[in-house]
Amino acid sequence: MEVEVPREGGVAPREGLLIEAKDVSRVYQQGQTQVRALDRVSVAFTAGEFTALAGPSGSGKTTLLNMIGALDKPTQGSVVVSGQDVADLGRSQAADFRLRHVGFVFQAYNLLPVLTAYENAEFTLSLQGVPQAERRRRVMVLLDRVGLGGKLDRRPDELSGGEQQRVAVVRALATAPTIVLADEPTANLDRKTGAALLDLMLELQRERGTTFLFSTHDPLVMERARRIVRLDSGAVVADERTG
Amino acid sequence: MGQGAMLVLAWRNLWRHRSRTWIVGSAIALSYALFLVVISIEDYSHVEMRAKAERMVGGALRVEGEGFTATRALEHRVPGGEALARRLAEMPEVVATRPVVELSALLSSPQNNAGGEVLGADPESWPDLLDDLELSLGEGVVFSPGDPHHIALTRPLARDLRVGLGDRVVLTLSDPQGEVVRALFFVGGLLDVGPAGIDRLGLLSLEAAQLAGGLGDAVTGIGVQLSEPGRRFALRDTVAQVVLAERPGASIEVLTWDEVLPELVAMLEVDHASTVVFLMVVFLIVVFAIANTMLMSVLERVREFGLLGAMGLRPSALLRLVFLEGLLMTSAFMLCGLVVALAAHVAIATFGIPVGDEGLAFETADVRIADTAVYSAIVVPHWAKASLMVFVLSMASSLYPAFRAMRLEPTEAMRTWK
Repeated sequence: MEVEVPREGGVAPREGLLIEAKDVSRVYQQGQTQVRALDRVSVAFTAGEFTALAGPSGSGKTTLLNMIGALDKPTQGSVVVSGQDVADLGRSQAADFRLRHVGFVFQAYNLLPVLTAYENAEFTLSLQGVPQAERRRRVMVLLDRVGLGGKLDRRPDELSGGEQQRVAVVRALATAPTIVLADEPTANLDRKTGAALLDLMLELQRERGTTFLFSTHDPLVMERARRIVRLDSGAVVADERTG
Repeated sequence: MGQGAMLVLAWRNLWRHRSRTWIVGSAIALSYALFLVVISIEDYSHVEMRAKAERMVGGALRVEGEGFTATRALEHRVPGGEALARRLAEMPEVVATRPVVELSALLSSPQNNAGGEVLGADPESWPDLLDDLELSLGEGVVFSPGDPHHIALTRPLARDLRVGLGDRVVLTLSDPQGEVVRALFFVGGLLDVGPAGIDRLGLLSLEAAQLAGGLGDAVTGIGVQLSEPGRRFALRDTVAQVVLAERPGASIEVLTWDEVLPELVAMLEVDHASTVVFLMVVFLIVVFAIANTMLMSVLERVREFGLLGAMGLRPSALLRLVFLEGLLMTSAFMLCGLVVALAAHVAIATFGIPVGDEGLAFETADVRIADTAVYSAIVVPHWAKASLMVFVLSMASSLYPAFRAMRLEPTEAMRTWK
């Protein structure tokens, strides 16, 4: 499948910027009540960052992550990713945008239960229409790299939580995306497994220069992040660089 | 998305809940098989009726005086009938010809009167006449060559007239000029009527019938047996051209047996249509069950659809995925249903389903068939149409679930597990 992302209406990013959220608000309607998940947030990220979006539950971390990943649209303001304002994308265009630019790692329920580890890992590549031989080459390198070369035929329910997350990371990276968005990826893992997964992602970030954005309140992630953007009640309250 | 990956995903999704898939699949397979078997049993009786009708008409085509079928009047006749029959028999597409005289007459004996049909036929050109009419000789002889006063009656007709062998019977009828004429006959044969035979019929030799009706060398019709009866509509014009060349200016028409018995064809079509409608209503219940299952399978995978959407699967591809699951289930279980239906057909066609010693008779538009068992016949266009209808309805059951999957927003769907 050819993936096409419209460039019409594209916004030229400021030099060096990969992601720029400007004056972004997101309001949800819950019954009669309006919930302001993000309130006039402005934040920018350059390519190759390893950043944690930190904050308590309901602070707007996941909402911001969803906007950057073209899963959601701002009620107000703009989110420009790789020169594309995500608010301009229709549903199919947003799907194509995600396929081309974004890799996702979620807290849980990351893998398709009916596919094997290998099939899950190569799934996004098959969505992109990459030929089988090329898919195998790319995926096997990564699966070996994360130590799952011997568990290719295992179904998700035959893998541990950590192994499942590693497969998800391979799937997210196999397409060589511009950005990997990880929504609390260590929340369901024990400390040791979580640390190993984060170290792995950090190594891959160094090797490939991929931009990683985490939504988290896990100290493990924040220890490794080069930048921590703290949110509270839908607003950025701190932006710290740690390395 | 690669079609191979989509196919693998759809197939594995289908078998995620094996027992549920088997239950719904079995409903598809068995209802489809039932559909085909019921149609086949009905088609057997219809095929038999059509064959019987063709035999009664004397062949796939009938050459007759224009308007005879509608009026039964002898003024609509075919002059030089036997000579024309011989000429038509020379055509390569024609197997045999059967000139006949059909008389609608009042039959009278000293004891009683009865209305009835009298058929004049040539036993040489129609050797299977008794079998075709499901009659058999009970007493006497059917035909008496050279005797213009010999008539054979079916036993019910003889009973009505209260006559036996050797008794007198007078035929009263209108000749081609409309004059009422009478002819004297002596009962020379009594015919037993089979379960599906014509109850009240008199049989004459062709010459005797021509004489009684004042027809000279004319006949009321010539049955034309074709080597390929299925091509009767195409060959009708070919035969008509020969008739026109042989009898220029005569008001003669060539009809297919369907046109001679249009009410039979209409009744069979109505019968088939009503069966199909009934079966479709039954299958609709199955369709709702399939739709319910498909919808359940979509709703319990909301998070998964969200994940697929987040990974970049377009909404249209989600719709295709669910539709493909429906397609695979429908195709696989329709194939099973087809195998079951074929097995059932072979068994029923071979052994029949007994309906008691008395047998079962079907009569439509004066054409009667009877048997002590019902059998099965495959009419390919009927199976094809039924299969198409079942397939379309089954696939329609996937429409709404597929639409629901397409409408899911990835963020909403992903939020479900939280």
